Amino acid sequence: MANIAEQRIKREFKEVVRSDEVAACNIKVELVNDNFTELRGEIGGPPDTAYEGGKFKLEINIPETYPFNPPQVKFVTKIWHPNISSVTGAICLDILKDQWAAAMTLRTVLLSLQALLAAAEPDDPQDAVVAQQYKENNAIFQRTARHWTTAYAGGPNTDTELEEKITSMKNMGFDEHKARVALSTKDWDVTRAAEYLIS
Amino acid sequence: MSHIAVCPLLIPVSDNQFSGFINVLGSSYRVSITIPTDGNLQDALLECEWRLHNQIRRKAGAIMQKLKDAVDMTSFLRDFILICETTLKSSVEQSKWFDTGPILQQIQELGWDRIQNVNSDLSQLQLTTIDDCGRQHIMAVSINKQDLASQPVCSVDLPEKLDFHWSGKSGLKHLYQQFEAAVSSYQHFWNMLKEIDDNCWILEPEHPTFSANHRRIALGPNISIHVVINCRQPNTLPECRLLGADSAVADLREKLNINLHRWDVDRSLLKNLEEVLDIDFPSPTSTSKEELSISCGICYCNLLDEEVPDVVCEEKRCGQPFHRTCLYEWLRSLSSRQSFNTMFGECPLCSHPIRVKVITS
Repeated sequence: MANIAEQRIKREFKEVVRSDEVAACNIKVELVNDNFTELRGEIGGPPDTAYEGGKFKLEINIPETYPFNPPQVKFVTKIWHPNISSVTGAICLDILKDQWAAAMTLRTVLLSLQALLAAAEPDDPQDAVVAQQYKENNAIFQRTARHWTTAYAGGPNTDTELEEKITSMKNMGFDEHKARVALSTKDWDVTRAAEYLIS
Repeated sequence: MSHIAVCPLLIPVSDNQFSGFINVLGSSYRVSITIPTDGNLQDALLECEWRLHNQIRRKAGAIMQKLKDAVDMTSFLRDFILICETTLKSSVEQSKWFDTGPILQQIQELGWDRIQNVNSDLSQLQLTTIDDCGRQHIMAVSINKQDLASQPVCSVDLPEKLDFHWSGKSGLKHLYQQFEAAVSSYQHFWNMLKEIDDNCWILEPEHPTFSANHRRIALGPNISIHVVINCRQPNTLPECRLLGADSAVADLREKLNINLHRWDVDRSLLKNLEEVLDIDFPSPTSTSKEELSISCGICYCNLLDEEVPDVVCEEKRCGQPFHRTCLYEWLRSLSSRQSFNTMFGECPLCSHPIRVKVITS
């Protein structure tokens, strides 16, 4: 069946490359190796969300049994989202698991991921900490997600207050990324974040 | 020493040297093999007498490779002897003298203009004929060099098997005449097919040969008819099979049954099909092939191992076709319900119930 997998990816590759979404710079796929098993994807953050303006890179692995099994996709770009692990980039999305259908394509997967960024599913979380913040303190969540988009995905919005808090933690001797994770986890309370990092 | 079984005459003269004879095609050749002290066959030294050396010199690379790959002495010797045998055999065949005179004479008799292609020793020929409608037909002839009186192997592109009549005295001309006669007998058949090929969208075969007596003709999006034409009486009703979603095909099937009496052997095949199905075939000039042959919803190809997607989702708004293999593989990967030789599941596109016959390989 490897034959089907390769043939299909070749076709899909053309489909995504050709489609209008690329023109709008919203989704993109690139080849990593020649045998079409490893791909690099990119999706643009949907407008009117905390991810707007960001470009999120994805690692896509095509199993030999594709399209009978879904592609394995994870975020390479760090992202603050209830259904995506802020540590590993693993994604919790039904169509990448039991709801996969052979008729789906890379294009539909990338578009679904974009839709996931626009509409999180906090009740089916991948990252429990983020999901809790999303539900209990949505304003902070939105700010954090926007800040991560700027920090890792090239988003345009600089949140000076949050930047300052990270700088102050860096001055305490903490690594920038670890400081950002700790602050994000502890709702941007510098004292609690420092405690969290020390313990 | 297990290699004794392969080469009983190859005798160890010291701990790491063997000397003696190997037997290739009934003759013995002097050979000696010296293995380095570390026992690594890759660096072994292989010497043999000039008679053998001259013959297998060209195969030095292959022999080195075998030395490299060999797990032990016995397996290497076995491969080595095999290489020697095939090399010697081919050189024996090449050296055999072959008289082209009689064949030249036969070609002369036939006329050089009927020869399309010929190889250097005249044993492989391609004869050609142009039929009444300007179609070129080729007959490939392979002559047995050892025995010119035996029947040459002929291959032709005709809808039926052509059994050539051959007696020891008949030559190329005799074969050619039979070929010409056969070609002219199929003129009507090919003319009927040409009319179809020119005026309809042929989905299958992609590049029809003269021997192909079947066509899959597009009738509409995802609907097609597969016809098998009688090459002797091409105007009679062919074997018809309608392909597509049951809902879409049912209507046509009924028409086909009701209108059968309107089939008129004096009309051409295409006209008859149009009359009986009561439709106009979509023509290549007015429709694009993409509109008519949609790719499989799983592998996204049209042709997969020579098959076209012919299982169709019964939901009218979906109508997505799938290759039998693809759909079966998909339903199987979901461990769907199977009853006798049918597997039940849902269309991977619209989730409408769909079923497929189990494929037993």
